[in-house]
Amino acid sequence: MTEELNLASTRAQKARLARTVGAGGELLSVSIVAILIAGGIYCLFFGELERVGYFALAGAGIAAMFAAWYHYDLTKIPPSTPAQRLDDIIDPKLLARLKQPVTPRSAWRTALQNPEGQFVSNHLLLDWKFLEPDVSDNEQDMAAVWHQAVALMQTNGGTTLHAGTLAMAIITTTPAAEAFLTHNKLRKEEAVEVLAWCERTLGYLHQPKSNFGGIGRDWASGFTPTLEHFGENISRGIEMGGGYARFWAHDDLLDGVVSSLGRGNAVALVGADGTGKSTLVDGLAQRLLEGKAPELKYYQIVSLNASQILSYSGSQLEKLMLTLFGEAVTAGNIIVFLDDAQLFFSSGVGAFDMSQILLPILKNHNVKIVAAFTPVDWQQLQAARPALANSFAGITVTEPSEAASFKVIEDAALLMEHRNRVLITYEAIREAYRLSGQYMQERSYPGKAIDLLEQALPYATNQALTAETIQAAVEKTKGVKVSAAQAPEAEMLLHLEDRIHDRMINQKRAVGVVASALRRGRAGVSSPKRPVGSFLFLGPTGVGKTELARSLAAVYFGDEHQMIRLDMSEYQRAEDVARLLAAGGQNDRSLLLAIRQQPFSVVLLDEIEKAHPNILNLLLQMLDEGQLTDEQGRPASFRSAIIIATSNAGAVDITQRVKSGNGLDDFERPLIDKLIAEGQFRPELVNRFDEVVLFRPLTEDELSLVAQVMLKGVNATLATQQITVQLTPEALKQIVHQGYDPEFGARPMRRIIQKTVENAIAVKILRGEAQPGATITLDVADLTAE
Amino acid sequence: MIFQVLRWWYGTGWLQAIHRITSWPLGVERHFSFSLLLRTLFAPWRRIVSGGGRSLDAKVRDALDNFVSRCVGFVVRFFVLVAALLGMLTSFVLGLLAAAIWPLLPLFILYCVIRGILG
Repeated sequence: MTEELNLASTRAQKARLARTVGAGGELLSVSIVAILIAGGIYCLFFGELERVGYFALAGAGIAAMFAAWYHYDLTKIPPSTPAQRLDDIIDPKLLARLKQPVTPRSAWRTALQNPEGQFVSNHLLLDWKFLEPDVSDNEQDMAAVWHQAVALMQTNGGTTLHAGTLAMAIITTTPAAEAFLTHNKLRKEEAVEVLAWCERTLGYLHQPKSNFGGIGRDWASGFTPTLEHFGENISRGIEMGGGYARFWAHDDLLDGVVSSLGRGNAVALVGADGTGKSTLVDGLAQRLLEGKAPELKYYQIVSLNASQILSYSGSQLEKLMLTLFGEAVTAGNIIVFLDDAQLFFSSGVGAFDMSQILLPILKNHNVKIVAAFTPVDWQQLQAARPALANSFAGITVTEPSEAASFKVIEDAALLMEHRNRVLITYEAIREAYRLSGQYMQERSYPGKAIDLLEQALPYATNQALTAETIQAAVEKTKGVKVSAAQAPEAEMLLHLEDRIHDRMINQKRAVGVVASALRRGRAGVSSPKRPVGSFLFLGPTGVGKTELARSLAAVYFGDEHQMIRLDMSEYQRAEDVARLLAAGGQNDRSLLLAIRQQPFSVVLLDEIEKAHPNILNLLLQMLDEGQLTDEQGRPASFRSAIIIATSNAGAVDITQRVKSGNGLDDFERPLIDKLIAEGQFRPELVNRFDEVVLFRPLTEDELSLVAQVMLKGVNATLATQQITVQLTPEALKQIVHQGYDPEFGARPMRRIIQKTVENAIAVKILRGEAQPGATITLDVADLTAE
Repeated sequence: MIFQVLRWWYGTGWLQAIHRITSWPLGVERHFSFSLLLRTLFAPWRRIVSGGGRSLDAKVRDALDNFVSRCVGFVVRFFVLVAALLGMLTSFVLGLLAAAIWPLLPLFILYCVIRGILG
């Protein structure tokens, strides 16, 4: 085929004529036929205008021929085979609009007048008016565009070159468009995916209408009033919607499901949430409705409503279940679908064990049942009720490949667009895929990405979902920060050390490494598959290890309480692992429950060396992969958290080194080696931290600053009474002296301030010596008076 | 354009018209699920059946109930089958007529024009 375009060809002429006539023209022709026939017959038989009658009938014949030609030929101009030139394969709607001379710019304008072109440009969020001046207006440049368009058409397995293909060819051959894509963080190859999406959608629109059986179909089966009441007829839903046009990710599994059901076996679909078990059942329902499975032709799938059924209990529940399955047996065309099937088999449901009813039914193959289980629920059923589990033919529904997941998500996005009158851009879909992978680990693709798109719908701006919309939705619903840091946050991040030092004295290196980690995380430079930062703080008691974690939580995460603190001395036994990994509900001290509720936080593991080795093994996974798996097999993410572990190990060595006048700059490695050699830490744990930071004992001057910071805290409390307190240098010196303990560092300081300063102020307030607006200066005498 | 229309009329267009002779009755068959109705002509109506009676009296009553159910099923299906048959026949005849009239329509136009001119 040559890449020539002949707009004077027969096909091009027919395309233009079809466009000119349009549906209105056809209707007009049919009306003319009716009027002329009626008029002609009247003239011939009732009037005396025989000649007019013949002319009228001739006119009716001509109009009828034209209407038939339009309807059966002009509206369905197929590609010419074998194709000789471009006009043989160009979609008639596009061909009708093309005018000589065709330049990339005129072609761009024409392409965007067609729905396929709009599909491509809208989903790429391309501002066509903005781009138009940058598209070449040189006829010579069109050769490259046509060449690219044909290549794209062939890559997508198409036989027609439509406006979407042409638009994409122009986008991929115009440097300015490429720059626009780069600005939207899209690569050329990713943009081309939108064309594949467009092609697939066109395929759905052109596929023949499904035939779901006729009038007498259901007369061969029985009535199912109770099933109708306590279930949802999935097949009827599909039938009323005219059938699904979508990509079926697990189409290959349907053969196995049909075959098992056909043999009379019940089927257990085993797959994680979001893999598409329910969608697979939709696909099954459609296949049966279309009569594609002869052994199960026209079977109806009814999904039982667990919550409605399980609101009954005891003998009522037993009776209801017997009625439901009895109806399914009698009807003879029912497949019962138990979504979240574990609800029906969990012990403690109602007042009796439902498996007592289901087991004989399953054994006798009386009713066809499809049940959906998560892998954990399926394992539990196999362990608890092997006979029941063995009655099912297990079919594993795995997470589809990335490419297949994208197709499913794209199809779902089109439905969402239709239902919610929004535009879901391709970058939004990509962002939903990426962020759901990062923050919805407890679910699987494609379901979790679709859920995220749905969650983002309320945040749509200008009726469009973009990558920013998805980020906003994740930030709101997950409590994490994923969008690029903007002022004032960016400004705060750049000066994070200063802000922390407002609350924290010295320990510059520790503050520096933590601030840097946070900056890397928020700038998107650090690995998204690990925690934002992980640090091991070593040093004596009372030098600020915990205070740094608390300051970070307060300064950056917004609240001191945005910190998950675990005292690892409470996890010294092997069985404490279960407590740490509890899925929640029954254990309010579960680390995983806490991180799920507060994923964007500081995780402080105090006195880590005291934890049981099994717990330390778990921490390896947390530090390495940024996630832990709970006792039910569901992962919890630590990828938005900063992990800080503290330990007093090596405190003596640090103190001695500082006292001997040496700095700590090069002391980290020798100290770590020593601690590993002594068996206090395992090398695999220490090496997994991003940084090991040594905290040195505070000097007297620093202790004085600590006291002043604490005094600021007292003043902040007194601010509501408009009272300010200050200390004389002697008083400050005394507090520093009393507040320092060689063993506990500055830890007693807070207690001393409370005992002295706060007590002294309280007395003065009660005595009426401190009025609003007053500044109270406390001397040594005031502090010792109490 | 006239040449194009005529070429299509006596080529693809006529073939499509002939194809519709079979496709229309098939559509009617699917609409009424003719074959299914035929297969289940004597089946009980909506599978309403009685059973389980042990005494002779009960068994006779069950048999009578089932007979009535089958009669109802037969009557309903029979009339729908008749309607379906009529529909298929009508669509077949219409299709046949359309296919037969199709090549004659241009000649009819020509005839009308000549008669119109000649009076």
